[in-house]
Amino acid sequence: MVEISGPDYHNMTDARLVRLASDGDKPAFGELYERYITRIYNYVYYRTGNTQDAEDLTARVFTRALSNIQDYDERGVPFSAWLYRIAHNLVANWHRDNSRRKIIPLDDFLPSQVLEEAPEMVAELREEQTHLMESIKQLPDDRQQLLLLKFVERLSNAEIGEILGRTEGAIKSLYHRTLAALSDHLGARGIVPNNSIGRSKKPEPKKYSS
Amino acid sequence: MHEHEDVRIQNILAKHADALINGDVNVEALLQQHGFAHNERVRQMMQIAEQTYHLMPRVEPSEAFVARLRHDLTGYGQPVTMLEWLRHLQWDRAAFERTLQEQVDRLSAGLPQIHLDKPLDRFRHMPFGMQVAAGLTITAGVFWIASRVRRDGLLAAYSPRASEQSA
Repeated sequence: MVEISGPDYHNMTDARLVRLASDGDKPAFGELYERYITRIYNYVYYRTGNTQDAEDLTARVFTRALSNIQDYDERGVPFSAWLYRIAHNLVANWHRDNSRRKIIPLDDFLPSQVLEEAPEMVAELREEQTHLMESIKQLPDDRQQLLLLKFVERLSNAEIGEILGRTEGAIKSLYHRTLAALSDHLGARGIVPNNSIGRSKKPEPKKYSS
Repeated sequence: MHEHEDVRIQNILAKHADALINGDVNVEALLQQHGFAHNERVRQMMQIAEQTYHLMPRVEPSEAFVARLRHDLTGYGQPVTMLEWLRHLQWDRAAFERTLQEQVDRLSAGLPQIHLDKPLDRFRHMPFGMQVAAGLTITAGVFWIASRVRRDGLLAAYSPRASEQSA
């Protein structure tokens, strides 16, 4: 007896999935969706600062990707970079329309270990984090994007380069200039960073369930 | 010379970032290895990188959101009803407006709209005049039932048998 099984989408490359999705193969697009939903959501979440706008914009990113997938040229940029560019444009429009720059509430992101073990440190850490966040908010758009793609998305310099349309070397240089700018900004305000937060483990992914 | 120093700093910062992400960072060893053991500027930039990294944990989208969007885009998975979705949004006016906007976006992209619960679905598909009529009928029905309950209560209270019993 011959067993009939469907295509193995899970092991296909992005490029192959995109070709199938362009021909109207919904499960192929579904596989791409599964691969990138969390990454795109994170990107948008950190650029908007709240869950509801992050969900709205993430939905629009994938809706737009689905409607324009025939126009995607795989010889240009990888599919992931194309998605990030859609996200970047939608977030830029969102900022322009709302004339605001939001950032995540700090309370959510103090490492729980610090909250439990050293409550006396919390006020100090929160103040440091506030200053750092304020400094990050002052950075130009491309530098904020770089920090996000590197630390939240955990992409390599080469991958970040593809998204931002720069070389790997240019990304290394931009990262250096970004940290130097943050150091200068904090230094000008008389704030010397300490690495007390760094000794604790990075918090587990935060889940936004309904 | 200055340019060379910049490249060395870029390299150590790149390695430090990779180590941070991989969870095996050793600042002192890196500084020694790259000849920056006494460079406070580089050390400070690494500390800022570390703080920034810890300030940005990865977040997970809600399962309801992921499921609904998957279903809307591909038609696969469990559909999420409008009521469930509004519950997820913790119903408020702004959320409702966003949902409406999303419906508009979906329609222009040729995608199906968000599913509604069956009774609401039927109501939504009625012509506007019929929706008004249905709304008025339901309201009138509620008032009629309420007035009957009140009338029956008054009749029972003032009926001769009730009077005798109270006497």
